[in-house]
Amino acid sequence: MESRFVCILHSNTLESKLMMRLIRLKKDSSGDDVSLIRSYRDTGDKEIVGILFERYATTVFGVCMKYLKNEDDSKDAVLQIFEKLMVDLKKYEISRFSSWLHSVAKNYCFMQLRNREALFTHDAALKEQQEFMESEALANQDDSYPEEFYLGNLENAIGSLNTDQKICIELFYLREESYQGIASLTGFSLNQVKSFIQNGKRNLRNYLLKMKHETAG
Amino acid sequence: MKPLVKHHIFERSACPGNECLLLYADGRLPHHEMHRLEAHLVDCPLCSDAVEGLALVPGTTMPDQLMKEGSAMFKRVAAPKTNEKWRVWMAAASLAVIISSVAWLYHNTNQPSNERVAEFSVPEPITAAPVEPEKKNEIAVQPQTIVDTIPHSVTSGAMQKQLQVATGINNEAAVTAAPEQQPEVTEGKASIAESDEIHRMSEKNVAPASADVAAFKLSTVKSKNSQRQIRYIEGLKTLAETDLDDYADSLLVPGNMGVEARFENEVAKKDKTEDQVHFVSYSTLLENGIRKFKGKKYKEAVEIFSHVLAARSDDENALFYGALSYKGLKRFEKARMLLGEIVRKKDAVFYEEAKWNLALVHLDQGNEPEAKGVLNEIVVEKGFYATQASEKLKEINN
Repeated sequence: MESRFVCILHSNTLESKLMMRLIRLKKDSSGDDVSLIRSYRDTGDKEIVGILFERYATTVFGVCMKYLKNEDDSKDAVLQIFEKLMVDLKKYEISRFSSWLHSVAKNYCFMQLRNREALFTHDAALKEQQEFMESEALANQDDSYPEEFYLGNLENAIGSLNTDQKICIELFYLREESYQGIASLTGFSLNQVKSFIQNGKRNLRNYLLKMKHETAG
Repeated sequence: MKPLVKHHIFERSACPGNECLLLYADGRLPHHEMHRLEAHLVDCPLCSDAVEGLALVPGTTMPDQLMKEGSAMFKRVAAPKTNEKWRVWMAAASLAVIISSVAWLYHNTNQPSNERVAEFSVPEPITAAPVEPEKKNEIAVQPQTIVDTIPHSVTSGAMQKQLQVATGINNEAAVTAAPEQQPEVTEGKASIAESDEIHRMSEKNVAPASADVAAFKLSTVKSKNSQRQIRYIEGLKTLAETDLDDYADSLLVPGNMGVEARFENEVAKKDKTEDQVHFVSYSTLLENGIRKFKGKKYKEAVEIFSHVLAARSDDENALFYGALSYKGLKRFEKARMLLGEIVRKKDAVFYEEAKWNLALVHLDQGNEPEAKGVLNEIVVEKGFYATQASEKLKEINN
């Protein structure tokens, strides 16, 4: 479920502050993207895809850079991907544009790598693909929770995490430390920090879903 | 422990703006903003990958050019197709001028001439118009094609009069290629030996980009609002359109474009620095791009043609030579895209060359089915490259 920021604001000032920041961040909401796509499907006006390009070209360029490791190839890839979008946006029903765009961009890059006959001989690429599948699975998870249930069980959920994940989750979400800050404080590498936060968050979600299911049962 | 509300951990936030990602990748985002972004990155594989990739690119200005190219692309595809009727009339008028011009050349080249001649520079191997060996003889264009290094000479006197009679156009400038701005621009003419071939050539509206078929230099037409004419720069065909003045008089060009800035006076010049924006005419920019292309400085050529396309997304010269420059850089996807823009319009001056090169680009990319499709179209259309296309098809099939 895409955020509409309709949750009840917690009285805690720190969280209120965070909320305001998040609202500011949401200058181009995913809802707007979906509306744009709907308009495009109705009118066929390619300038609408141009708006999406302005919003996401840099992001897609970054994704392509990560996999293709070449500026020129990445630039070409971005243009190709958005050219492809002009057709694909009409074909597919898209509910979460950023996730879908990520899949399209990654698949395009893997196709390019495959064309270079490097994909299956390149360990890094294989590893990336595996990570991709994991992140896709994460992106597609159901992230809806009843507010009261969530609030009542979150502390227990955090308590159930292993020590590394617990430390990183608390430092990241409560003390608002950056990845780099957490790495400095804990001695973990940046990748470890990212991994502990991401996996910790996934475990929290799983714990809460399990609790919710047991309560309902 | 403070409770963490739902939106704090699990709520999805929207993807941040481009600037934010670039600053983060560059390590220049303020701490509080950084945390907000990182909270988003945990949930967003798109942005998470993006910042990793952007971190590999030094500086934060690089995507500007990408944005320009993309905007130009969307302008091109979104532009409504206008003036279709006008284009048909233009094509018909071009054909009429070609026929009369070629006839005039035929008439004149069979008689002794004292005109000063020189040899055209040999086109790049990569250029759009590798001249078909058999066809070279068939259309009887002289192997050492002639160039007149003196501007106006080709268009002066009897010839100009002839053109005026043939086209009903009383236009002193119609045949000349704005030589007062580009005295170094080479202009050419060719002699045609067989009258049958003249008709054949005219009927097919052959227009290779190479200077080898220089007769096309004379494909000049003036319509109510515009003139379209061919002129040669460094021996390469370009489309000269004098109705572009509204944008062509001055283009804003970054100082690193390798072109000389034009200043009102020395005081104004002193006020400028190398990095500042220069005003450059379209024709100067085009010539500079062509020279870079011809000198195989493809990267610089691409930069110049991209700049032209950013100002005018359907500029045929920039599309065509930009595509060939990309081809030279082995950026085939980009070359394919630009050539694709040209072949969408059958009346494009570079239509046939673009199509031929499109087929070659497909082959360069190892995309045989697409290449075959294009080559078959070329054969069916019976244009200048039909025989070459046919041979290429045989070569592929073998």
